[in-house]
Amino acid sequence: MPFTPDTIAAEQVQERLKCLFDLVQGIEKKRNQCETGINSIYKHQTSSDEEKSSQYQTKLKTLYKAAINHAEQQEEMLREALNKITEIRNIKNERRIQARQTGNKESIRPGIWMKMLKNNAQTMPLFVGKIGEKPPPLCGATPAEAGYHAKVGDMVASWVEVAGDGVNLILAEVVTFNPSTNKYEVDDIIEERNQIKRHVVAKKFVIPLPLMRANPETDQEALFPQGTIVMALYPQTTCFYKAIINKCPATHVDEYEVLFEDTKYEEGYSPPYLVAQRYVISGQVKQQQAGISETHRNRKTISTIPHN
Amino acid sequence: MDIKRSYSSKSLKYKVDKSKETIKSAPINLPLIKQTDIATALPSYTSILKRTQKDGVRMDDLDQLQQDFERMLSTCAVRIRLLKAETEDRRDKKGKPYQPSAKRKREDERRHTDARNVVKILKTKQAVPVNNYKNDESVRRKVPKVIIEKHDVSNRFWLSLDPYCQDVSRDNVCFLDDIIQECSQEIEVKIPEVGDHYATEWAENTVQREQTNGHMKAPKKPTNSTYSDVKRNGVTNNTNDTYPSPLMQRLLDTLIKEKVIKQMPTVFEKFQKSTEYTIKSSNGMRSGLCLDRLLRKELVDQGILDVEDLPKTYPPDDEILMEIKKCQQELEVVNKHNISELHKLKSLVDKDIRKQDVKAALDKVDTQVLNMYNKLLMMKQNTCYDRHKDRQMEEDAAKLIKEQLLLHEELTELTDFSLFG
Repeated sequence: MPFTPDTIAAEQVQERLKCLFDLVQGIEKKRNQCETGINSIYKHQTSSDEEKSSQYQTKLKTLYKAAINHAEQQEEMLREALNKITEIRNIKNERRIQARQTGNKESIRPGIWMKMLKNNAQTMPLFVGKIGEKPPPLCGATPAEAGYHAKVGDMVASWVEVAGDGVNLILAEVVTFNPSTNKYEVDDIIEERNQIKRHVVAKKFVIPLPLMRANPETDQEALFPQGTIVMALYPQTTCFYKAIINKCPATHVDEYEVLFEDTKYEEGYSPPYLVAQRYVISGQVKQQQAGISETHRNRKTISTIPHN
Repeated sequence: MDIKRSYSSKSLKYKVDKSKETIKSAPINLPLIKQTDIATALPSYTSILKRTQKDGVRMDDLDQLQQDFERMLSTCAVRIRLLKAETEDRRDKKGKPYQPSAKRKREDERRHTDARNVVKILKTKQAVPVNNYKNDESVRRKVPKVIIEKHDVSNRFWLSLDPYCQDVSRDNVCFLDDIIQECSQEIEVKIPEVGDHYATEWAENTVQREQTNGHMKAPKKPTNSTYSDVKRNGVTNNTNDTYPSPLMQRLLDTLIKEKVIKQMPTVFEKFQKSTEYTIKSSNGMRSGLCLDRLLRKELVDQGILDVEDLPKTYPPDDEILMEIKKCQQELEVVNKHNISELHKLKSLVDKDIRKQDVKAALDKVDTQVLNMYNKLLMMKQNTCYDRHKDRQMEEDAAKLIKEQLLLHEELTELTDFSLFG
């Protein structure tokens, strides 16, 4: 069998999938241990509830310690398994970028793109912090480090001039980054629009999207608090608009509930929409930098995008 | 397997909330995805468990599997946090009633002091994210409170100014008097007269040395003659010939007093030697050469000094004395000015004290007038009305008001004077 990049990538993926299978078995064992441990804690607590002797306390303490131990082991294995999944995704993404560079363009209909975007947001790695661990940059609402620039193939929000529609903050993919000019070359996520020319945008007008989701159950501080003004991707479009967080996600699968600023509505805000963590960014400063006035922006883009 | 509690992952939040309430009282509710629930809560995970090694994990399982793993990881992380919090809580309970640890206390103090220095304003609109599983109180404690900086800089400033704004007192007058008296004294600075300071002493020393020398050589020779000779002839007559000129002596005097001469022993030795030599050779101090003349001669010989450079007049003009006198004169002028200014200040202070007195008197009269007015008012309200008493009181009142007016006029006068005078 010839060793093409595709076959190498496929092999790497297969190897990781095998690992994953083993890990699933291991995790199940640990999960059982945890369950038994917790059941014995409940048993102990209910059986000798009134007996508050030192013996009771010591036993309970040992049970707690065992439960912590089991949970930590399980956590470790789960992290490993999730790492494997991320690795597989990275390999696939790498292949996609390589294929594109060789001119092998995949033509995807906008409707499919929308699905992919949603899937992309759902499968973005989840950050579950250990006790006392701070969320890394670009995790949820955590901003990127100073001097950071998005890698090739990364999704970004970029201020670009859209013909007949003024300046818009669009969803784009990084093609190149030139450190000497400090400028990005970005592609609109909707391929049809790129036929005219590619956008060259200064770094300050490009906002990298989060690379990790924050877990609301453990790392709520990495989420935008309720009432924050953000830039969020309007559903079924590829444009970001000013919005206010109405409700934070409660679990790792939940999305933000946001109210878009919209003069069409009496209150000036749209009804609540759900937007994934990946497509909610803090746009306050950048918006000022770009010098965009509210009047320039309208929702024409929405109607121009064919709905699936 | 014995499963006692069912756990629905969808109601995780609710469960966690409940556990928060019961965290202090056993039994606690620990989040766990139970055996019975895994089929519904973790579909991909369960299906993979049932598979054989050959089937393995497929690519299209990944998305769901990732979600399942994430759900388990999140549950696990929350459980660890709960268990750890519980064990710590128990440890605290075991000893004495719960007290924040020393570290926590210190942190609180630091936070408090930080907040004191910086005005922190919390936007009430933005709800602070609160982790549900945690003890609410501990989270809220992290929220910086709105504390307005309490600084007493302005108070301190005004306090420091206070002594300068106070009324002048008798003590200030005394102080001024003292200064004036001190400044009015004549300045008596003694300028040492140009003359022989060490001539006598040195003469005696030399004679003594001569005597001992002579004694050692010829012990039988009477020693008194030389000494008495010196005494008899008088020192002053011989100084010009034998010893340095008066100016030189003053210089030496200063040098010796300041011990500068020790730093140049060679010169000193030279002096000594030459003196000894001259004395010895001439066998008496009358014929001894004057030290500074000798020195001058040597300097001219060596070419360090020119003959024209040497002062023509002898003794030369005393420039130092002239300078001292000039400075003294300047000082006297300054002193005179100071005295006149001090006198001006004193007169102002006197006026001010007078003003204070008047003010005090006026205040007194003011209160009297007020009292009188009140009394009159009471009288008028009173039904039993004494006409005679009333008239007397009115007279008193008129007198008081007159006094008040007078005092007021005086005060105005004094104030005007101090303002424009």
